[in-house]
Amino acid sequence: MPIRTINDKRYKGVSELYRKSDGQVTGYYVTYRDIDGKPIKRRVDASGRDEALLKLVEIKQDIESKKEGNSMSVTLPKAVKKVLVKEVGSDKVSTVPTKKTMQEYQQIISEYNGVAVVSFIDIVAFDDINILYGYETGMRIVDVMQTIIDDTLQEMRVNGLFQKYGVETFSYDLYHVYADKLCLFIRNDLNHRLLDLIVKTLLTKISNYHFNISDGNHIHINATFGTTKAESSESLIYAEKALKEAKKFQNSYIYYDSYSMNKNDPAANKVYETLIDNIKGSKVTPYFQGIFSTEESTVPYKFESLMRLMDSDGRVLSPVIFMEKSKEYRLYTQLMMQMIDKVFDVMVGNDVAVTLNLSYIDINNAELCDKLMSKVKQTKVGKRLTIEIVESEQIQDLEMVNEFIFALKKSGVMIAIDDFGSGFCNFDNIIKLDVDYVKLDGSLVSKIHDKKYRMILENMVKICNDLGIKTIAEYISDESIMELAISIGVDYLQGFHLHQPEQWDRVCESFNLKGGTNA
Amino acid sequence: MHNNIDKLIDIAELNTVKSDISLLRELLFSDDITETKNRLWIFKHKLSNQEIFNDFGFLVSIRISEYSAILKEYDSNVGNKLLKLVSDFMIDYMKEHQQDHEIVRYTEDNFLIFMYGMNEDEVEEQIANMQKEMSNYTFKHRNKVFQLTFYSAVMQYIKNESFSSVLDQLDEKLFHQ
Repeated sequence: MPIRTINDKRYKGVSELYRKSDGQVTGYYVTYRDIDGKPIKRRVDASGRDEALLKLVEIKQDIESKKEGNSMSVTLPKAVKKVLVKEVGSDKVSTVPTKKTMQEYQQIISEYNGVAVVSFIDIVAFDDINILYGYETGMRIVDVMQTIIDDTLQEMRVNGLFQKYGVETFSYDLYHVYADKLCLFIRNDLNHRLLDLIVKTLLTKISNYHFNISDGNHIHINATFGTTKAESSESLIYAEKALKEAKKFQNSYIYYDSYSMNKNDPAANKVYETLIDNIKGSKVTPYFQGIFSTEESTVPYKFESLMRLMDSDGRVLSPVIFMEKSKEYRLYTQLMMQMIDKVFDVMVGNDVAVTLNLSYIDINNAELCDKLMSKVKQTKVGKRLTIEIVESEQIQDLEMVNEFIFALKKSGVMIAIDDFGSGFCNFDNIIKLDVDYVKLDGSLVSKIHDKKYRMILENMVKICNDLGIKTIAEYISDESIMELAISIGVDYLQGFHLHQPEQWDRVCESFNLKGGTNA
Repeated sequence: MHNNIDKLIDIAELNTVKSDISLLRELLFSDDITETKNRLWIFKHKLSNQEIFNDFGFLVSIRISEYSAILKEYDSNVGNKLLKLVSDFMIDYMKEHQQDHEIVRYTEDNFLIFMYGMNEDEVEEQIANMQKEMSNYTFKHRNKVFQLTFYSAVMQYIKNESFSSVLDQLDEKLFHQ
C-alpha cells in the first residue's frame, strides 16, 4: 500500500498509508529527526490525522527533552525565526529553528534598531489545563498554538492581505517565553489597522481551533494579546503593560500606543523617585480633615487623617498620583509605617479623635498590624482612634479581618467602613464585621439632589440606624448637599464645604486648638 | 374662559421658547467635541469689545503632548475621542478639587483654563498635580490604550490686559518647555 503526504500544512510531518483500490486510509507514518539529526520515518498507532500529529509532537518533545537532559523545555523559551519573504516564483517560506534563552530574546528585541511590533500572547487559564489534563497536554497545546500562529500568518500572506495594506515582506520571531506565554516579534512598522486585523484573525483561529486532548475529544482555548509598536527598548515593557491591562479587564486584545508613552516616561519615573525621596527623607505628611456632627458644624467631632507626599519642589501630591504606584512599586508599607508614627504623634500631643485609613492589604500585613497594635498599647490613645477600612470590596477573609477588629476593640478602638454602597458586598461587610461607623459612598452623596439617589441613601441610613451603626456623609461640597444629607438623617458630615484637609499646625490655627480639643 | 386657556397656552409656549433659547445659548458657547466651553465664550464672557480682560485671574494654557503624532498615526476620529477623554479627565479633576474655574477648548489640542480665587503657587500646584495624575492614567479608546500628558504654562491676568498679549506670553512659555 502506498504512502502519501497530507496537503494540509497543519499535518506537516504526518503521512497516510492508503489502499490503492478505494483510497481508504489504513494507517499513519510520521517523519522527524532523531537525537543525532538523522531523518526517521515511522509508523504510529493512530485512528486519525490529529492523533498521528499528537504522536509526532510527543515524539519530538521526547527527543527535545533527551537533548536537554531534563524536562525543562516547558519553561525555556523557544524561538522559531521565520522570514515572510515572497521568493521569486515560489511560495516557500524559509524556516530556521533556533533556541534562545529568555535573556537572549529580550536582548534581540531591545537591541533591534527600528520600529517593531511586540505582542505577548497569553493562553487563558493555562494552569487549569495543566491541572486537569496534565503538563504534557499543556506543552502540546503551546506547540499547536505556535503552529496556528505561523500558519495563520502564512495564510494571510498567501491571500495577499499584507500586500493590501502596502506591506510586501516582513520577518518575525515567535518565542515561547515561559509556560503559557508566547512572544511575537514583528520587525515592521505595521499600520495599526493591519495589526488589529492580524491579532483579530489569530484570536479567531485560536478560539475556533479544536485542541485534541485524547480519544478524539477536544477543547477550545482562548488567548489574550498585549501588543505595542515602538522604536525603543521599552517595547517589551509596554507589551507587558498591555497584556496586564488586557488580563485585568478580561479583554482579548489591548494595544498600547507608543506615541505618547516615551514622552511620559520621565513623569512616570518621577513618581518612583518621589516615593523613595519621601521614604528616605521621612517626608510622609498626614493631612487632617474635620468630621462634624450634624448638630455642631463649627468644631469637628473628629479628624480623618489623609496621607500626603511632597514632590521635589515641595508641592503637595494628591494621593491619586502616588497611592496605586506605591503599591505597584511595593513601597506602600514603608509609607504607611511613617504615616502611623506621625498620626500617633499628633494624637499623643493633642486630645483629639482621629481616624486612620487601612486597606485590606494593610490588615494582611503582619508587620504593619503589629506596629499599630503596639502603638495603641504604648500610647493608650485607643479610645480616640477609629480605624477606617477602605477598599472593603477587596476583603476576602472576613474572619481574619474580624480577628483584627476585635483585637483593636479591646483597646477601645472604633471601626468605620468606607464607601458604603459602592458595591453590594458592602452590605455583607457591615453585617459580618463589627463596625461602629459607615461612610456613605461619596459618589452617591454627590448625587443627593436626585430624588432616586436620595431615596437609596435614606434607606441606607435607616438600615445603619437599625443596626446601631452611625453614618457619615462625605463629599459635602456645598450648603444644599449638607442640608439634604441632614434631612435624610445622617449623623456626621465631612467635605470641602466644611473643612479642607490641611496639616496639623494649620488645623490648630483653623479651629483654635491649643493642646487639643475634647473628642 | 377661552381667554384664560389662551393665556395658559401662551405661557406654556413662552416657557418652551425660554427653555429653547437657554439650550441654544448653552450650545452656542459649548465646544462641539468636548464638554468644555468654546472660543466664542471667551470673547463674549471674558473680554470686552477691545478684546481685553474684564476680570482678574489666572490663565493656564494646556497642550496635549504628541497629539499631532497620534493624529498622523490614527485618524481624526481617534484624535477627537482622545480630546474628549482628556477634557473629561480635566473637568473631573477640577470638580474633584473644587476649583473655581472654566475650561475652554481654544484650538485643536490647546485648552485654556481660567482659574480664580487662588495665588500663583496654588494654581501651579494644582496644574502640576493634574499633570502627574494624568501621566499615571491610561486613556482607553476601544482596544487602544494611550498614556497622555500635557505641556502647560500659567499666567496671571488683570483687568484691562490684552488677551492676545497674555496668549503670546503663554505660547512663549510653552515653547521653552
